[in-house]
Amino acid sequence: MTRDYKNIVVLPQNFPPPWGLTPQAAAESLRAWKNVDETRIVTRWRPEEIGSAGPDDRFFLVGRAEPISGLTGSAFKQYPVDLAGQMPWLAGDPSTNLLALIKAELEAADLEEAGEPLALSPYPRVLVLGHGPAAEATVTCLSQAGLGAVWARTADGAAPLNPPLRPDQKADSKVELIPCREPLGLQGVAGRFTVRIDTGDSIEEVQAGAVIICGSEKKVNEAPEPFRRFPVKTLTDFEAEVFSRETPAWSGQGERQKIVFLTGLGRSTATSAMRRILNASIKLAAETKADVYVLATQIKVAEYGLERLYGRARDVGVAFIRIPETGPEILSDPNGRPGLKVFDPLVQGHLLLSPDLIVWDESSAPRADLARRAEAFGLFSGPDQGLGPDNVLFLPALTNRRGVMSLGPARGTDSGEIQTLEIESAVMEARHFLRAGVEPPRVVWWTGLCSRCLTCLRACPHGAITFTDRPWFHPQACVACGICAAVCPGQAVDLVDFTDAQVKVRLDLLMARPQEAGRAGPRLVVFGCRRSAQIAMRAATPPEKPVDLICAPLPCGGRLDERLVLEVLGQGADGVMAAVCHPDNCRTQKGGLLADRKVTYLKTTIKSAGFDPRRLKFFTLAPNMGIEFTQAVNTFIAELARLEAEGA
Amino acid sequence: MTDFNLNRADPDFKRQAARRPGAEKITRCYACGACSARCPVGDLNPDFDPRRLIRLVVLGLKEEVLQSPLLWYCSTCYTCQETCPEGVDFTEVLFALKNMAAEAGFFPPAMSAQVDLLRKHGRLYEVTDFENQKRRELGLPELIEKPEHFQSLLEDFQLGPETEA
Repeated sequence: MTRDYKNIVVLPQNFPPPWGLTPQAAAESLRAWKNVDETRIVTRWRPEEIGSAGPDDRFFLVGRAEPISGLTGSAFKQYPVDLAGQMPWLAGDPSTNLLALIKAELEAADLEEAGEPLALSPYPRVLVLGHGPAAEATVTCLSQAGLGAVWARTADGAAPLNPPLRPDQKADSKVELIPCREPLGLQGVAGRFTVRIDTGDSIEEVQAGAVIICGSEKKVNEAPEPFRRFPVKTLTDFEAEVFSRETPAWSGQGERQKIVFLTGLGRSTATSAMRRILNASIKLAAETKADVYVLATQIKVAEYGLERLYGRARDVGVAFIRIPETGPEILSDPNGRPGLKVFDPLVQGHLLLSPDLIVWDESSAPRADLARRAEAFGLFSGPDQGLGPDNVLFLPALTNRRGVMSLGPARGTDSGEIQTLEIESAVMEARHFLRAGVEPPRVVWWTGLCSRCLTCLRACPHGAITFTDRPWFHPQACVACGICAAVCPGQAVDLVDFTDAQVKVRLDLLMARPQEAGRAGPRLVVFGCRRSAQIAMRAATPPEKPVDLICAPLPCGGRLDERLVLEVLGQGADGVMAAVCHPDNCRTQKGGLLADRKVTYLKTTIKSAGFDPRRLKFFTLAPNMGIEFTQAVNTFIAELARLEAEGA
Repeated sequence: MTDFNLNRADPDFKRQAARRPGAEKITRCYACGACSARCPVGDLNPDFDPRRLIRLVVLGLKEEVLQSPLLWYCSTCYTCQETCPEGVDFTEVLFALKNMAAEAGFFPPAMSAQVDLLRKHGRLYEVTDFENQKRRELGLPELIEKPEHFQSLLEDFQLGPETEA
């Protein structure tokens, strides 16, 4: 089939590439191959040069560029080129093979356009795990999108499947149902997963291009042991009493009752639970004589109307007290009344409180099945023990493994609105992995340097490396964090976009540079994650004292290379700083942790090499922390000056 | 570090305070700290922290608030009031709290000394020949103390000698 494209834009770098593919040759080749309306080659990304992008337009960018806003997904592909203009990830003749890649992309887009099933991946199905409404909605959404689904129902036995399919669903979409007692493990990479499932009778292997985890076990009803010393009610039971027409027992006159709402132990409070707590506490504080306290790790108000409810609760006199995730300390009073003890940073002291009733938000209990599932699937669980980090950067449904999504109860969201968003996002993401598109590799592997030690395989937090007789780096699962390259003892692994050689050339040049007259301070090398430190540095104000600041960007904190740190110290750097994202914000999850460990290890190493370990500094920051960055540099300069004075 | 026993606190304290004119919106505080960040008194004396005072009121720690000398440190510059995103009129809240403290008998000696000065001289410092000499040199009219106006005012406001004792 043929389709007319308005634009196919190939954008080479500004310099002529060493391989023979000239823009003209590319244009001619594509024109001859397809009935292409217009193929234009531009050398720089300027809107006026490209014109407006229509729905039929496809863009191919060869080289390095900032992400282009408004162009995502299949309309836009980027093929990285290294500093020398080479494409080390592309075997053979670049000019032929790059064109082949572009043609394969267009072919896939054609098939999709013509309504062909996306049966291009070897495993063109999505595995859905769960039994609740979120799982059912996900299966429905998948079949409406024309994608095949395997629904592993985690509930006891398999109820007859009756997904509410709409008449407009595509004819070839089909849903297979299997019972699932427990998922046992996940192998492979996005597009080619094999999931082992204990069905109760046997152990089945299910092959799928993507996995969506929706379900979780029932909620825990009982409060954790230490709190059972108090009179405790679950939020559900308490709501029934508060909102019933009859007068509940605790609303009696006489002594004022202290009623404490307790939420967020071990996992953060869902907004839906927050709404219930606020409503109940407002009713209580406004209509009874009770003293109402809400003890929460976080007051979550990120949903419509919650901010207003929170304001109303404060108006009627509910007191909010922040507790640590481990919960308040429990005191045993000699008079028999146990009490709670919480440190309040606002009053700089401990608050002591003996509640007459604790209302326990049972939805905020950690769930054991999610911990098991995280283990089986090689996923990180967030601080709230939901699957997938509890962080806006990972919204709406992503986990650390590409191709594995978690949503709904598996993520800790109970709200319908957010779940719908999550389901749609997960299905869109899954669709991406069912296409057998050719993704350009993100990692270069040098066969002669590799000793097959498998350090990279163990270090990869994304499950993107598999091993046969050599390690394979799967671009569809790789996020190009560079952790494999940093840990490789033989330097056999490099990021396409960020090779050791590039960084070394740049650092060598900067280090060899004579100090300018106005920057006669210490020479400071900052290895900074490009997602946080690099942005913060741009927003930072100049430090108080003159300093010769050299920046070495890292694709992720985990890419911090001990060798480079030692090298710059040897070349005369006065201090080295590793600035990476906060632990919860790290998009590779373990990057900051790895960087921290490396700095700790390096401190002992440089000590034995005769450097003072205080010349090395590790700190974490967010992209908007320009001021804090300057402060850190200022204190570091002062510290280095002290070291100089000590003669260290 | 101090322990604050909420069992002995008076949870009604925030409502008592909120009934005073100007202090109605005290419970709106969500402890963002904008007031504390901009307070010029807090710059000089870190112990003076508007957010902490409000927090103590909201938690019902009546005695801690009313007995605190910090209440009287405020220079009434109104920066906190201008800053507050929730419209808590903190300077007004402090007036209310100061009134409550005075009613409860917590009136710092420095303040009663100021009242004494007012009663005696009609202003916060005594006008002597030295001041009037200076004023003459500058061509300004002489100041004459008329404390009786203030004495009657103070009596009207029940800040006379008998209530103070």
